[in-house]
Amino acid sequence: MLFPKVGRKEPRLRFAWYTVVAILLVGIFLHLLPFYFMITTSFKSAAETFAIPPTIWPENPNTSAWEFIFNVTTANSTSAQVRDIMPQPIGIYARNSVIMVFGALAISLPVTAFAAYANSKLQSGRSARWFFLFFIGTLMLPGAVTLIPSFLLTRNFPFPLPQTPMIPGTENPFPTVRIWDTPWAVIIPAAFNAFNFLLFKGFFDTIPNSIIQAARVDGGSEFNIFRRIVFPMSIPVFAVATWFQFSALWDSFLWPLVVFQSSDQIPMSVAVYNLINRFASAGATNSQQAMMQSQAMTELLDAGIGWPVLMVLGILQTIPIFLMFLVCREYLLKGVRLRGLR
Amino acid sequence: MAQETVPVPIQSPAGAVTTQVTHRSRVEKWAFLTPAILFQLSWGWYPMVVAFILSLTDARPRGPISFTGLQSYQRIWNDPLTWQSFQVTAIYAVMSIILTFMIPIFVAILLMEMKPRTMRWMMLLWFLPLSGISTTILWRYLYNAQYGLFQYIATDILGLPPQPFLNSSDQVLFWLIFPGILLFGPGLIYMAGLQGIPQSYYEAAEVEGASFFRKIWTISLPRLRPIISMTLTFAIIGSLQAFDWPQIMTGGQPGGASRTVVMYLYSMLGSLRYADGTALAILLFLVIMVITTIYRRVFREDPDA
Amino acid sequence: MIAAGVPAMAAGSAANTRAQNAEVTLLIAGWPYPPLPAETPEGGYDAYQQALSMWLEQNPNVRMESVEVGIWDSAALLTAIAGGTAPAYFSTGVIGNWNVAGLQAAYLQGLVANLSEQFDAFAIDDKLSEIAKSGRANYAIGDDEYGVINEIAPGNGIYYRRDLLAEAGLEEPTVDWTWDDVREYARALTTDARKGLAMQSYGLGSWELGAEGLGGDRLFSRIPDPSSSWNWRWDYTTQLADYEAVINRHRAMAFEDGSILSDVTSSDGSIAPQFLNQEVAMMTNPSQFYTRASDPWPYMLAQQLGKPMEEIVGFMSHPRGVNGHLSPESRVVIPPTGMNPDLRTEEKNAAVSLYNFMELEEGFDLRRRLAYEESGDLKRAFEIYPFPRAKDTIDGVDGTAADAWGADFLAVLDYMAGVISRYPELGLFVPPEETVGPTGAAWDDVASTFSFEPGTVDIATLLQQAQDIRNQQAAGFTSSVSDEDFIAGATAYYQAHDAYWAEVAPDFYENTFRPWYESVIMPALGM
Repeated sequence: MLFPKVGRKEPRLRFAWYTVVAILLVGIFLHLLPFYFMITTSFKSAAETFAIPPTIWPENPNTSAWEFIFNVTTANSTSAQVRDIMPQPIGIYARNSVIMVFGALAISLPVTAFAAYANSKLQSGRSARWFFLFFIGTLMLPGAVTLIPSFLLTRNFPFPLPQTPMIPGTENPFPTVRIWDTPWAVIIPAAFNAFNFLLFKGFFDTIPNSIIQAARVDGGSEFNIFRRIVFPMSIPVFAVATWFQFSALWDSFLWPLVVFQSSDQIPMSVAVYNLINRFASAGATNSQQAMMQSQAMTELLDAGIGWPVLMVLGILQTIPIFLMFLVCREYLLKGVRLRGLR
Repeated sequence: MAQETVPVPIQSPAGAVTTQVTHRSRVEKWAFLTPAILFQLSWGWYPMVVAFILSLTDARPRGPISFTGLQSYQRIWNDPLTWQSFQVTAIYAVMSIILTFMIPIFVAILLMEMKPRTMRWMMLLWFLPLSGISTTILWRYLYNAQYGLFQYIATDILGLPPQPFLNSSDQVLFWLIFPGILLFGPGLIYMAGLQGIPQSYYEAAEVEGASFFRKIWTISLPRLRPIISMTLTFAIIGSLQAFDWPQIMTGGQPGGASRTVVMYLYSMLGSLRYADGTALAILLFLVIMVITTIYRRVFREDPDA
Repeated sequence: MIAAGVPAMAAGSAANTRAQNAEVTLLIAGWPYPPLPAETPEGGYDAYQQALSMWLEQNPNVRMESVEVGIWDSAALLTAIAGGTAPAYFSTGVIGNWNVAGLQAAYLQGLVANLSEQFDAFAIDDKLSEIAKSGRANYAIGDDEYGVINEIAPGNGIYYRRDLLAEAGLEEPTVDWTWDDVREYARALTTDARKGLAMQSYGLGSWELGAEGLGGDRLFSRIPDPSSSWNWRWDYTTQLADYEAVINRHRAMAFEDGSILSDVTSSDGSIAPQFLNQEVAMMTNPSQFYTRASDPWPYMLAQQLGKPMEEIVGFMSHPRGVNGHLSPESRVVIPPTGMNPDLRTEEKNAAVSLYNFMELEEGFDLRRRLAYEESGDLKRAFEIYPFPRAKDTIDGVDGTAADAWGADFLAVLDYMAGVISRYPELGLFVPPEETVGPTGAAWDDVASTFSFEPGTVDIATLLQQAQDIRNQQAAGFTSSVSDEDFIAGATAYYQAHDAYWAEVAPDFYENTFRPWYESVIMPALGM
């Protein structure tokens, strides 16, 4: 504990304390402001959403946007235009997101954590350095340029080509694996997560080697050391890693957009952000482009989808992330309780 | 559990543990590493190598592809806008790290001081609003030079002349980074790291009369050092690839003063100049690799160095 | 604009027969012709679905299937095309970067299906309106066609509040107005609660300098240079005085008059709501939004104020340059609909057949007639006018576009379609390039500095800088067109300009164009 128990009542310290709390509250406020904005917009009428400055409280709060989504998702919508835009009930999209994200987490957390532990505690010297660069080097290249090669690999692994080449001298194509248009197309590339690797390695590096040493002297395989000693200590960092990867995957847009084609495969992020991107033209520098973006927007407006509906979708998209945050937060704080620090 | 041999620990001067490795522990080490190696090779490095090869061709999306050698690299090397974008990116990265890196560490340290209930509540700080659209709208409104809230504060409350905010090429980078100061992103990681520090350390220091800051400096920070090193590594790698936020707010303007390398790269990809864009990406990759390696040497993170 | 109805139908039937011979599945990514839903909705089919069922009955061998492809995201669409998973239809602008050079590069690279056969079979060209055909460079290279036209946007212009102008006692603009006039209007219409004019962040470069033919890749700024590797060089300095006049006037409007609402983040989507909320009295936007009956476009403003649209909102093509030049920004803009290059012939036949039915023939009439009967509003029948097809009336609907949108607006459209759209387009003369060459970023940069940077800006230095950067970038590109072909094409192009300006703007021709043509262009092309 940084603050001495005894001196707590001292005015200088109290002042410092309250200043800190005040700054943190401002931070929380700014953080949550976009959420507040989303929620209130979902209860506004479409015309009000264009008001500037944005109204702080809806003038005539109404639930039409929520009802709209409810109707769209639970029954056949009578509006053909809506069905074009969101052909499946939201439950299907949510299911796909769940499969995709939990599948990836189930594989990625062990794979990445073990590799980080090995790099941190079982390797040393130059080989540890090289492997470190090997594992995080892929963070250093912008993903935009590996999009097409990676996509082609999901079609015809291991050939990054649109068509599988023929085995020389025969009429047969090489055997290939196609994970395109299945949840594996997201799960497998996510099986190793370089960012979480950094996270785990950083954390494992803080574990004093003496602890590992003692366990080794006592006897036991590395795996058991990991299981009995390191893992319980690392629950907080696993919680953080899970949270980061969950929110990144749940919200990921471009890769699922590219690798899924069947409308019953796409996750919720794609369904929602497809709509929102069509609606919010993000700074065209060219009048033709702007015109087309506006056309895409108008189609949505004709279907009855305006800002309020998009905000409802945005909220639905964010709720699972929020719930996961609450869960991970508990595990993060578990470390505190376990050690009886409070 | 039966052992073939008892490993004998040897302490090297820098404190790393080396053991006479048993056959079993070597097998285990590779068992831990191999799945990650396979995935990273096939989905990480393989596409990168393909992209690199494509940068040496004319990279038509629907072949046939012809080899052009270093033509794309020459072209972007001789392009003044390439260097401008590197300059912008460097400034952006440095400013971003200086302004936004330290705060989350202290926020995490201070949060650990609070009662569990308060702590839980305050942790909402890190529930990042991931709906980019809302955040964009919010900050566009705040920065609007005519009726934005910041302009109101500047002119009506602080009595300054009207400020340009995003419209000035000198100030635009600062204003783009400003929201990041209040987003305490990696704080959760530091909290996880701080869990492991036994109370007794603080109590002992207390007894010895250590002040508030001294305790942080001698106990909290050293313990967090490897984690800070990792997050700093990531901050460097990430800020040099800044794209989403400046792209959606200013599109690189005014005067190209907010155009980062990745933004320029995207504009090339959008003009069907895939080979040129990839060449620029590879160039950026090399720069990041060099900077990261130098940084790790300097900070001597590797105990065996 | 009257079409020949009967021969076209005959040709259509012939190709229909061809389509009937093979089993075809069209994969549709929700646009522009979504498949019928699995179950009939409660209220029955809407206008579009009824038309679609009619076509499907005529073509029983065709199945339509929904797929999810990000056709509005350029990276996702390009990836799908590269990987062979593209849908049947998409907008070529998404991968062609929304300009003629980009579109033609996409066609040359084989990213879009070649539809020449289908154009012949269905006699598409005979059915298209003149204004659609004036934009041929957008969808064709030479005799090869690569895209079909679903919608026409007849050019950009300025929307203005008629009622506010009348209140201020000002005359309405005519097609011959200039930016000095705009400045007057904007100043008069600016009040405490409202600014005169809203513009996109690229407004100065595109509208104001574009009106003079300056900047970017425009008439006076891009000079043929066959001796260089890329065949073009940029010149942003010869007309320095003109640049300074325009830029200083803009900055005066922005900083002194305070009549412009614009910053680096302004886009189409952000200024339209400003017009709707009456924060501005004028806005620069494409003309097709006049003919959209939905939020947040002028139609909704009229509804809010409870008056007919013709009383509240006016539209005029872009002002002319002070030197008399006509702004080609008011030309027709056609991002064509392209098709998956992997389509087999019978699939292309089916896809074009559907297009033909829906936009050029009975399907179009049916949809519009039903929309009119449903709403009772003639505007719904004549939405998104002018039509791609030559026939501009609708079977079963009594009324014309002029009845729907007002004679004034139609007069402006006619002017834009007639005079302005005859502006010679480079893509029709010079063979296209596979690569688009240097990006316009250097010009965009200085244009935004001129627009927004506070204080003083050194116009001459910045223009020189932009020019140098672009020429330096161009040195890294080699044109794939031979010097011979280039000179021949460029010569024809500038001669077309010579004829055009002599006809539509004699003063400009005498005083500005011809001297420049003789001293700069003719020597460059060895004429």
